[in-house]
Parts: sequence; C-alpha cells; structure tokens
Amino acid sequence: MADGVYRIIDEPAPGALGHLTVNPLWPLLGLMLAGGWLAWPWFILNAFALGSPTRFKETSLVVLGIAGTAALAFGLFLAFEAGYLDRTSIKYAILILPVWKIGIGYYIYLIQAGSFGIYEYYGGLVRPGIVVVIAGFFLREHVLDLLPENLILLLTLS
Amino acid sequence: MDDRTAARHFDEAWSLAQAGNTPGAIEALQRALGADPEMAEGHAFLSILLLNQRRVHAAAHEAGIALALAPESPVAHRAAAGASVAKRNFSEALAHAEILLELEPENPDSYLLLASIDFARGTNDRLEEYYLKALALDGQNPDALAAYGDLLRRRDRAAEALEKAREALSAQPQHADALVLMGRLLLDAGETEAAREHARAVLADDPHDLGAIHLLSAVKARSNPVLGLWWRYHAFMEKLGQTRAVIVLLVAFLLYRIAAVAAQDGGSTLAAGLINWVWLALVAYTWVGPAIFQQQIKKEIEQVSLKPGF
Repeated sequence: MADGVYRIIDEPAPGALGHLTVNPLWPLLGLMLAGGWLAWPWFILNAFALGSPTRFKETSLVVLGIAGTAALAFGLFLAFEAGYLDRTSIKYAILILPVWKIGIGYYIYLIQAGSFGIYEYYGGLVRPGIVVVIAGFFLREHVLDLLPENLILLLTLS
Repeated sequence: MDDRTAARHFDEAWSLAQAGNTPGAIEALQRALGADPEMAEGHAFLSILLLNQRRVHAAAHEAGIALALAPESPVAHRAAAGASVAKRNFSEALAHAEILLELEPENPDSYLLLASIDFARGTNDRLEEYYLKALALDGQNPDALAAYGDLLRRRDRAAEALEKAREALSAQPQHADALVLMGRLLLDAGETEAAREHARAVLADDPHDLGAIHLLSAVKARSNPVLGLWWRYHAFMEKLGQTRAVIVLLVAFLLYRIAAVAAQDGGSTLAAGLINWVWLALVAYTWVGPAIFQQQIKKEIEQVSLKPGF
C-alpha cells in the first residue's frame, strides 16, 4: 500500500518469500499424495510467503498436526504391544492417522484459502504448485527410505 | 489530519458503493482513513463493505475501532451487529441491535437488522413480526418489502410473495433484492429464462451481488442435471457450515477406508477395487464440478453489460 493509505488488518503483507506463494490447495494435495514430510513444511512456508495474518495460527496447527499424529501412532503402537489390538483390528485403528492428518490439513487449507483469496485480490504473484505435488508423489518412497528406521516417525511423516 | 480530504474520499466511497463497486469503495475508504484515521463512520462503513466480501475478521476489527471512537454511533452498532452475526455470536449481535433500536426507534432498518439476526440464527420465530414492524414505519420500504416477500416465498405463500415483490419494484424498479426475489418466484414457477433475465439485470448494476449470482447458479443448476447435482451437494455443505462440513467429509473418508479394508480382508479384491474407484470418481466429480460450474457462471456474468457509472 502507498503512503497515506489505511491498511486493512487482513491484507497480506508478503515479504521476501512472496514469490514462492502457491494456492493452499497444493499443499493439501501434497499431504494426500506425498505425505506430511512435504505438506507440513509447505503449509508453513506458504503462510509466511503470502504474509498471511494468521501465519502463526497456521504454524501452530501444523505443530498440532505433527504432534497429534505422533501421539496417535504411539498410542496405537502401545495398544498393539499390550495386546489390546490384534493384527486385524490394527488395520482399522490405523485409519485414524490419515483422518487426523487430512482433518488438520483441511482446516489449515480453509484458513489459508481466505488469506490467499485476499492475496490474489491484491494482485499477488502465485506459483503453480502442481509440479511440486507430482515430484513429491514420485519421490515419496525415496524420501521415506531416508528416514531413520522408526515406525512412529515413519507414520508421522508419511 | 486532513478532514476535508477524508470527507471527499468518504463521499467518493459512498457513491462507488451505491453503484455496486465494493472494491472501489473500499479503496476510497482506505484513502479517507489514511487522511483521517479517527473517522468513526469511515471505519464503520469499511466494516460493512468488508463483510460484503466475507472478510469477517477485518470487518469485526473495523467495527471495533468505530465503536471505540464513537460508542453512540448507530452505523457503528449496525456494523458491529453485522460482524457478530458473521461470527455467529448472536447474543452480541442482539445487544448491538437493541442499542441501535434505542438510538433509532423510528428507523425501519433497526427492525430489519433484528430480522437478519433472527434469520441467521435459524430460529425465524420473530421474523415476520420484525418485517411487519419495519413496514408499519415505512410501508414502501423496498428492503423490507423484498425481505418480507422472500420469507413468504420460503413459507410457500407464493401469491403474497409476488405481491410484495411487485410493491418493492414499484417503489424502486432497480432494487436488487426485489429483482432477485422476482427471479426466484419465476424460477419456482418454471420460467427459467425470465429468472435468468432478472439475475442479469441485477448483475448489470453490481456484478458482485451475491443474491443474483446465487439465482443465476440456481438457474444453471436447473438447466443442467449433472451440475445440478453438484449444486445440491454444495448447498447441503453450505448449510452445514464449515466445521460440520469438514466432519462430514472426514466421516465419509473414514467409512470409505473401512469399507475398502473390510472388502480386502474379506478376500474380495474386486469389491475393494470398486470401492476405490467409486471414491475416486466422487473426488474427481467434486473437484471438476465446481470448476465447470464457476466457469459457466463467470462466462454468463461476463456477458452482462455493466451499466455506466459502475
């Protein structure tokens, strides 16, 4: 905004990372097709790139998404070890992990989509995110192979 | 501070808003508030315009500034009530509406605000009473006539609704809500083309008018069953609200995954494959559906010739 013009509180204030802004739909798709290792940091990067006024809330939600997934995975692991879950029921119980991740991811998407709409309205530069999603989809196995052999970590970032 | 510059920009914003140019009006108000940041009515007006753009957080912030600067300002209370409704804080909205009613008991808009709160909270028990009170104060008020007509239409009292739409349009022939109401009544009567013309008439004045865009969407949905299905799905989700819609989608996803795992466990790879394909088709449809729908609406809006002065 030019000098002498009142700034509305929700106007995004993109900084040096502004040129990296993507439609938040892409990080959400990244979460579904590639996994948390790609999507969680991407959501945070995008929040700061578009100068979202709720970027700290979005960052906190990402932290909640990761911590919640890890806690759920750990809980399932303990329940399995203690014999509360057998091999059949664990297959169903483990579905809670993608539901949790997609739920949090969708919530972040909804918040970020509001800021993104205003960012676009003010003529902000937008990058196509599809390339990253496709690359993430094909690199998924390789990236997960690089992680230390830890089931909880794998479930959290997959 | 430069009061004269601020007042000039404020007047410009008012004219632009009257012409339906909300983005232009917002920019003019930003200039007005840049010249005089303590202009209470500027903040209140900005709040109302931001709410039209569904920028609820910013609208509530501006209404708060307006109230802090001028606690007795009717327009500040009107803006604050609107923002509270958008945040679904109905008790706060009612408190502002009641103050407004004390400040302006003879203004029909005070009752229309109470009616809009009653409508938004979904109770609708005093809606008719508020409309009748507004009309008792000003029987030719087109806002009250159109809103009351819309209530009658939703209550299947089409003949009375038509009468109110006609009264509103004779009071103000270009009244957007009255034209949209008339369009809806025509659509209900199966006159799709006439309904489309009414939506286009409103959009010529204001291409951002939500009621007209909604009417045009309903016309499109009526004429195309495939898009109509998406429209109904979208309307259902809208009615649920954001949080409940997310929960419904997550439950649907969970059920899909359970069904797929159960089918596989039961040894039916074919059934598991079929479930996956159905889910994929649903995802593709809900992805492509809105894109095509919005494209068609956009094309239709682009064909509308804007009236001079927009």
